Amino acid sequence: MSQDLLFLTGINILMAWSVYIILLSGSLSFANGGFMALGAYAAGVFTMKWGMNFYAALALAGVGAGIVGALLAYPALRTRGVYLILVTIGLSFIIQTLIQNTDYVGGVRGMTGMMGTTNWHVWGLIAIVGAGLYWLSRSHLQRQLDAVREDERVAASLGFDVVYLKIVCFAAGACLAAIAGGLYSHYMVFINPDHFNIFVSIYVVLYVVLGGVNNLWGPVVGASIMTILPELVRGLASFRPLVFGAVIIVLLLVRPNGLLAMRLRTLKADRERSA
Amino acid sequence: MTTPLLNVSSISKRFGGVTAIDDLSISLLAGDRLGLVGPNGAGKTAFVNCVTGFYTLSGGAIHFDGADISTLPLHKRGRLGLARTFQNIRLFKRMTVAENVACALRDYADRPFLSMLRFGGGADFVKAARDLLERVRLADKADQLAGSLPYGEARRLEIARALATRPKLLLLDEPTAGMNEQETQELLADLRRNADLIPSMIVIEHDIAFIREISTRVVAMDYGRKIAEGSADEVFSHPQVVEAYLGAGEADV
Repeated sequence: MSQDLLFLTGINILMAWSVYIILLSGSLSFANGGFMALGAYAAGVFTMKWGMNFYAALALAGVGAGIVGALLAYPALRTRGVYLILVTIGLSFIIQTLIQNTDYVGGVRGMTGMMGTTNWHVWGLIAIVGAGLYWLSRSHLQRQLDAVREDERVAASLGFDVVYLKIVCFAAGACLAAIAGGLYSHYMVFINPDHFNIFVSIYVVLYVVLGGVNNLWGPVVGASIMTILPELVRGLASFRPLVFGAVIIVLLLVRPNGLLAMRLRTLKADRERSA
Repeated sequence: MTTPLLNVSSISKRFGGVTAIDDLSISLLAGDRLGLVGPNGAGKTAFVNCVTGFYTLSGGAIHFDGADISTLPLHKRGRLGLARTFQNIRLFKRMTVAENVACALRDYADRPFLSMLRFGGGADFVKAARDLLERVRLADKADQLAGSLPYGEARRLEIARALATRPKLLLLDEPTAGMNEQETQELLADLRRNADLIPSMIVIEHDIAFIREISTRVVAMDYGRKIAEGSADEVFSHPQVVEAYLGAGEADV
């Protein structure tokens, strides 16, 4: 596997997890391509124009996008289901348009010169985030998030602050997408607003849905397959969208709940049987 | 004079032109076990929805444990000590029986993200959940999916989940609906056995024998209003209650 494909796969896994983290609280976000753009540009500005250290730039871009995500989530999460999806699609368009019209970052012409990301950075971050998500999957918090996802109102009546949980998840997802964006821009050297159009957001959601939404491995499998499979038919460049589409249809027919559909349990109550 | 645990003062709930609750006042002292009866559509479930925050009030006020909760969101009412079950059972079906109870435990209730500081389900969570499941005779089903439980057991699990929040007031919405006589008697025994975890209770029920057994006081409703209040004997012999249940006497026709 080429370095570039390894890198792209890694970025897509991180992006898929950023959607998964938001989905933990039951919201489906089509805004993560937008948050990725925010991170890509912000980190680029921090390192190139402000001369900031690469890691500090990534961290600041992530925190900044997290704050933006939380501020956007508060009004956005007043909507539910399909309406929330439309709001997040709107966010994606707004972010892209804002960047296109900001001359400071090059507008539609894009920005160039960012460097420094290696595959070690990407896969190191995957190890860290994966460990965190595994830790979460065995925690009391995961149980509460699962309850929120099954029945928000009942979960709230048990005392869970559902809005707070959703906002934090949304912010965390935005943060991860932005850091992935920062890594992306410092590997690609050149970026323009078109790299982060609505299709990026849609593809990333597809990775999660196809891989499975109920455990942290689903997004990894979905992102890997959907990144690597189309590359295998590289010779037939014009057929890549066709392969992508065919894989989606086949997977949804064969495994409608995703490839890895099972939910991981947060506890085993029967000690005898589990021992 | 002691202040009531729950004081519902002339609340109303309207949906467009339909009035579900009309100028209803009910108060409850700590330790009360109130039976709420009335024909279908009388507004009993709407009352529970108003008290627990599932409905916003159209008018009136609700005080609980000294605080005005009239406009508080669901989760704050839950934290103050209100817990309920549902007429149409609402379990977290894809989670296990034990998880349904464990997620509702009060630990980290106000700071959910602090629970991340600990790895694993946590032995104390498992123990607390098991204890509650034993109390409702479900310990041997702990690792099954909640959605796989038969009706009666699902009702008991809902009660255990509500008790996991350590409520000051438990509201049961038709806990014996769909149960046969034996299951009803067993549920009665369950509630009595766990009285230490149920400081106060409001029970909606159609089973009059059950209401007589469980309640210290009974309120009858019809058309969103309170039509009678008192001991079970007083309420069930009240002419308006008899009429609401059986229809107007033929003599009146």
